[in-house]
Amino acid sequence: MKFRYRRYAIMPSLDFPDGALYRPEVPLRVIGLDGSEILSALVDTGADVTLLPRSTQNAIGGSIDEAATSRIAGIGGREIEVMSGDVTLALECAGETLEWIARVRFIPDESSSDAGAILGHAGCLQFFRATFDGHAQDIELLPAPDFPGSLKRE
Amino acid sequence: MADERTTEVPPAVPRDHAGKWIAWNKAQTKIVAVADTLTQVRQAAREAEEIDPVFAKVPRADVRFVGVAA
Repeated sequence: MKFRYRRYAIMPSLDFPDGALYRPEVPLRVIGLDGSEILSALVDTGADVTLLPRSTQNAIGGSIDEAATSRIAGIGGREIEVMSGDVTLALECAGETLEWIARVRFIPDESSSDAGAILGHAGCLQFFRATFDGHAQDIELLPAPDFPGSLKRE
Repeated sequence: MADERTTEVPPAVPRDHAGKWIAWNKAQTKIVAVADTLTQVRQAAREAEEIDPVFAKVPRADVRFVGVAA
């Protein structure tokens, strides 16, 4: 599955003189007991875990493991406590759907900073071969041989 | 190189929406709602009767992102 990078208009700067920011984001369907919703998720090879907004968990009826809290941190070092849960994730592209069950971390919406959802190693990238083409501005995600989910074709 | 399994080139998100949550239509060709929070934009998309909107957090215009909880 190939996805085009998302393009955002930003203030022009030395790094982005044309005022265009490209990000490897993919439309991710998050499925729970009560329904599903689609988030534009940043594919981040530097993220150890997969992060979703807490309000998504509420909206879809995602399971929460109250006993499984953990701490995460980014640049700057500020740590936040997050809860874990299991949801079904799905990527859809050109008539194909990849679906798998993943353990994810739910972060408070106000902590989501500049990315609403992040696909990191645990829960996502561990199951894929990912190719980032910054020149063509697209990302290809192919399921690895041990992909734990299913591939459906229309 | 594009092939038939590559998604369409999505339109750019305008700078007016920097720092906001937005909702795309399912085809991601049109922004159908903008709000300060995911909860608000979810509600706005529902009121617009949009089926399967795609929610996205728009990067701020003048701050670059390098990781969560920065």
